Amino acid sequence: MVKEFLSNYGILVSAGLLTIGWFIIFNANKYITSRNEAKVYTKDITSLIEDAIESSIEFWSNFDADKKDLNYIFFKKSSILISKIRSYANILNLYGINLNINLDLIEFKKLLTFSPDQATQNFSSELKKYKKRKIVKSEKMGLSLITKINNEFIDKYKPTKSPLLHSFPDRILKNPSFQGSLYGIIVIWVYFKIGSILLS
Amino acid sequence: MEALLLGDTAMAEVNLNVRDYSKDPFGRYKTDGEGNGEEYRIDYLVPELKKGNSLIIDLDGINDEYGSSFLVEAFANLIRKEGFKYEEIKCRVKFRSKNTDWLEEIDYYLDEVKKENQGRILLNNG
Repeated sequence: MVKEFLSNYGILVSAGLLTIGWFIIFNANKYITSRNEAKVYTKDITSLIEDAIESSIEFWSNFDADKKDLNYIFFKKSSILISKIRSYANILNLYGINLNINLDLIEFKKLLTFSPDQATQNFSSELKKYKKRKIVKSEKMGLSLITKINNEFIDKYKPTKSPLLHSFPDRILKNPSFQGSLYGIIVIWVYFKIGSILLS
Repeated sequence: MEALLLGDTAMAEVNLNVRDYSKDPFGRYKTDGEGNGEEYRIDYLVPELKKGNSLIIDLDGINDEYGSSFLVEAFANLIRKEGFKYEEIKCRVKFRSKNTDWLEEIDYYLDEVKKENQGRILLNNG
């Protein structure tokens, strides 16, 4: 009965299995592509924040309220940089990495672009303290943002940290790449099995 | 301008566009140059609020971004420096923009002053 069924519908069964296999492999590929794209954005956002930290250290170390043009350029540049970081964060949301860093970015922007009040500007010792605080806080905030973003990425796209057999079956079984490979093997095996039944 | 009569007081709703003040709002103090937050607060916002009017402030139409200095000095310092209460500002000053990040940022600065004031009250009572 099996032989009769396979001789009539064998090709359809094989085609069906191949389609399902193709879908699984396609899905796994999509996952890998998404991961790679998200990784690029994560890298870019990290480097933008690093730039912001670096320029903040340089700017606030040499801050002088009278250098108005220089201050204008730095404040504008930093505001635009934060807006760019925000739009990258929105893109990462589309990849399922929910950063939720809006308030952190407002705080970071304030650290970069909020100038000292006039009383502080008039007392050099106070201004020195203010500048030091700005440098330390902006660096701390920037690094904490980088950590948060990278942690969210790793949380969404888990890294393979142990050899295949060690994590078998918990992680591997759920891994789309593994499922695709396994399904491919089964399809090829079934295909040859059907062929051998038909030929015998 | 829309007017609303409440008892004996006529309260008007005044629309202000930041772009009419400056396309490039920047800086805290008048000494920072054109388009600073202090001047906008003192010359544009406070007179209307002192008349008892409510404000609808349109933030759109500027060249690029708002810096923290301008936003804090113009809006949050209505509470710190002009003596308005947080609730009063929240009730009488509405912000409008297509960019929700700016609205969120202003809210953040207003909340910051609120927390500062609450902390001060706690310290005084303690």
